Amino acid sequence: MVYYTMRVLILLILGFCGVGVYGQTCCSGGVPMSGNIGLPIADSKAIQLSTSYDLNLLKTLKSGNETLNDQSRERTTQTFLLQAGYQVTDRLAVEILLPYIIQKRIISQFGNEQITQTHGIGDMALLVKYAVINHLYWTVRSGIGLKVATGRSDKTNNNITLNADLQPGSGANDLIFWSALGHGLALRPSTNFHFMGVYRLTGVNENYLNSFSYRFGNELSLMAGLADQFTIGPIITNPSLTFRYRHVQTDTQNDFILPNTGGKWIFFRPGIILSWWRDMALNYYSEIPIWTEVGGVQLSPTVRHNIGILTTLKFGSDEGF
Amino acid sequence: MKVFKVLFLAIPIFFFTCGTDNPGPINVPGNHQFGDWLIPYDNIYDGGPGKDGIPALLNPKLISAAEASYLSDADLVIGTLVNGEPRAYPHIILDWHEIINDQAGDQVYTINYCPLTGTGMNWKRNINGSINTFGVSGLLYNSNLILYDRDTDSNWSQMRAESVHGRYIGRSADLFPMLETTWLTWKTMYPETMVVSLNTGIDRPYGNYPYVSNQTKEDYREAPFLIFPVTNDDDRLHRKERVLGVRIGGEAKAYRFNDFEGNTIVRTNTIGGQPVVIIGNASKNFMTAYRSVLGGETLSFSGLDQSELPHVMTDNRGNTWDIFGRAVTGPDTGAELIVAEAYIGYWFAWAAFNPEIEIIDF
Repeated sequence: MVYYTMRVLILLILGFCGVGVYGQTCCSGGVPMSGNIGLPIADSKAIQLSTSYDLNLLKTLKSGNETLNDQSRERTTQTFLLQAGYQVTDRLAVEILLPYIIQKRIISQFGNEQITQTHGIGDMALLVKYAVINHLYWTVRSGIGLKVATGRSDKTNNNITLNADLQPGSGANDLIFWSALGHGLALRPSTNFHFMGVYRLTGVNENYLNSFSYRFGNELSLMAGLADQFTIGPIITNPSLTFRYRHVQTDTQNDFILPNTGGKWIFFRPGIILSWWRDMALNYYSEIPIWTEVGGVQLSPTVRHNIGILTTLKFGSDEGF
Repeated sequence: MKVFKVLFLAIPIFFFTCGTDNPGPINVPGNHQFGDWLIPYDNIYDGGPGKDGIPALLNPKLISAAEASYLSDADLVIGTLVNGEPRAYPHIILDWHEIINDQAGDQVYTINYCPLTGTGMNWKRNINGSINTFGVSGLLYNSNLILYDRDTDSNWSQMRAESVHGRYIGRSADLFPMLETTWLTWKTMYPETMVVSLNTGIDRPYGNYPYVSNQTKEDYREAPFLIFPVTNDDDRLHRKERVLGVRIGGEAKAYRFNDFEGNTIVRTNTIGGQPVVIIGNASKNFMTAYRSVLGGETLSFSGLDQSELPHVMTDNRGNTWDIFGRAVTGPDTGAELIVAEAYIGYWFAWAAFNPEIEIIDF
């Protein structure tokens, strides 16, 4: 039990220590969900706990697919994600994702720096997953979930209400459709092809600015890549190379399409997972946009970093920390 | 045991950092305290780009009309004649900058234009004997631009034409006359005009209107939707109909282009107890207004044919007046009519700021 307590403690401390730094999201209304949801498959009855820190830096000003020569604006979203999953059976699992979001806007213009910052608990997500195929070389899982409007969408700065994309929450409940496929290559069993698709059907915030309805655009995220596994001394290492396509539809306000929203991106996403101990892994990935097309003129992601720890607790077994 | 100590330490840190989202009071110079606004801050909104996120221009490069090939005849411009120098400030540029701080001779002024309310004005930049520059605060009231001055950080509501927060709270803006019309009309009236170059030093897609959906091509200038709430939503006219609003002594009236069809037409009216002359020409796409009193005498005017532009009217004293309210011939040559707070804007905006506004049908 002490081992479990220590493991949970490490997760909590890693989750808390970064709070108070800063953050931002673009066209997503809070949680950087599509890139983080979907814990790996675990043994039956196992509990998975993950904590991660996600930094999304936006300082590339785009007009359509052209980059404007303007470095005066910067947005960051820092998200601290606590994620917990329970493998109900070999095939059925549930997970919950709770973000704490710090949004920051910096304008460096005319020799001055203007900073606006908000933070708070973001929108929580719940996901139920089912392994349609759970084979040694093939896994196919599908899931459905809810993003619940637990985050505030009426944050103010000096008593003045901030606009939607500086809010930690979206004020809307969304439906999430999730699927993932994994395939171990026959030629090299340690190499795995992976695919993940997430579609978020967004709901409506009926009380935006106390009088409008606001809806963030639906979001599609498709990821495909390869991962390998080998050991470096005592460390099990899983490097991966993934490409991610993200399409966010335009936001609407009172059913009118808002200009300068929505876009399509292709990201290159290298990552690595390191396991020193059984059932505990340190993972890191970054996302670098390699193609962008935004609606109108928008600040667009420049780079994203995500680092986290995942641990699996197997109650009822004799396997320890 | 140490484990639990760390845990108990971590939890308060977490809640402490969650506890507040206000970094502190605004640093307001002078005697005013945080919260002193002339407008209800419940109705002030952060526009999104942030303070100076829309960069104002300062003394932009000017080019001749012949060099301004980027403009088409139908493009709207704000024309000025400060210090006798005709200059054009195109909406194409103002859509992306909203404020242009400029100077003609020893006269300093700021052209401010709010794309969301379609309102452009020309304010003097001399305040209390010092030359100010204005920037975009990133805040909106009634969907309308709030400027800030860089000397005192005071906030100024464009359509109230006064400072609403900060050291200059309550101070009205001093106006220069200006004319919103098409590039063709302007350059025909003033062929020697200078116009702001696209070479602003800031990279923006000037040919593209920023408030149009790239998906549906729905254009904010024509579609009925608003991006930010207003305190009074008046449906007597289409929200985006361009009207000339005139406000004097707390009374506001709105004039429509369809009362100025066919030629340059001059109409008189009384606003706030003051006689006013309204000059308009729908085909040339302008309307403007001045107080029609000169030396204590209320003048009566007759319109001139549009071929006489920029001369627009004559009066009962034998003067000929130009579009900027200057007597160009006659016994009072050199005299100027008093500038009225009159400018074109979207109907919804004039109605939001002036709930009792009267629509005038001649």
